[in-house]
Amino acid sequence: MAEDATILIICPSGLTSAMLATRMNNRAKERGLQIMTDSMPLRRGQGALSDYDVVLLSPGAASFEREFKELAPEVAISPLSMMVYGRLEADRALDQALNLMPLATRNRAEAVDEALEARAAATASGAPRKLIVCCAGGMSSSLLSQKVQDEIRARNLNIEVGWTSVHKLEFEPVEADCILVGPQVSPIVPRLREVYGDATPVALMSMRDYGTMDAKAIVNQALLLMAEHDLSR
Amino acid sequence: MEGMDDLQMTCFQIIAAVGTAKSDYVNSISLAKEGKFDDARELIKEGDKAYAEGHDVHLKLLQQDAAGEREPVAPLILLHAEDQLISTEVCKLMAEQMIDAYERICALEK
Repeated sequence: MAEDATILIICPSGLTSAMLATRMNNRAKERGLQIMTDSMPLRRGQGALSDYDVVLLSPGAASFEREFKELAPEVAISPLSMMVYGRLEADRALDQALNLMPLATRNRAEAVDEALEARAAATASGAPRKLIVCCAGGMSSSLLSQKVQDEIRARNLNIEVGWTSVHKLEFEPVEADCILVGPQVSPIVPRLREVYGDATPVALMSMRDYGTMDAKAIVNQALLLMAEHDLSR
Repeated sequence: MEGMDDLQMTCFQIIAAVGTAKSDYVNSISLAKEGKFDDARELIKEGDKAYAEGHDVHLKLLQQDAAGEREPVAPLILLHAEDQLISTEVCKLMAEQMIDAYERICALEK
């Protein structure tokens, strides 16, 4: 299965970033996250920025933040603090990357925004695509789905939105074109992917998009997932 | 921390602290280039604080060595930490010189 996200850690020589990356990969596995972390020294990393969703810089590489952001504006780039790096806090480094993920998703989504809109318009006459948003109990996702519905109407997209609880989603599988899950129930994503297999793409909404109910970013994420899924078939 | 011996963690503390300092010093040069000399010198002070943290940790290692409290071994990561420490020191010297030089250039350009 493809990773939900890829992280690159860059430090001046590539030694300490490799050690942190190893720990982050171990922790990601233990936490059930589909996240892969690579490490590179400065010069090599500079040429590989665009291959990753999130790039974290060691304290010694932090002065390259501005230069890298200019080189790869679509990538979420952020320095790791002295505390996190100095204590090899893999969990906190992972959390920092997860918090940046929405930025990465949004940047990527905006890049393909136009193509997706055109695609959505082209299929506007057919049966509507079905998007499910889901949280733990179904309460906050019903609020969210209303906002998403408004966004879809405003953009004139041919998509239907439904919401449900995570429990229902697992034990009473639905027919849908895309399923987005709230960040508070992230551990269930691997199980949902087993249930839905190749039929429906299942992904996590980011903490930022979900927390701020950013309907635009969520619709973009759904459009992107559906487009990728269509292409893979 | 599990699976990570003390020396390795100590080295990481040094690398993270002096790395922070190095970035501060480099960024201070960029500030000077933009004509922000007060901010640049302020950032040098910030860098000094971080550098001192790394230096303290390193000094403790030296003292332990001198007192025979630790095996006198130096794995690659310790060499690496010292390498970062020294290069950061050079970085600071250069940053201070360059801030002064930019200040003079700036005055000449006026």
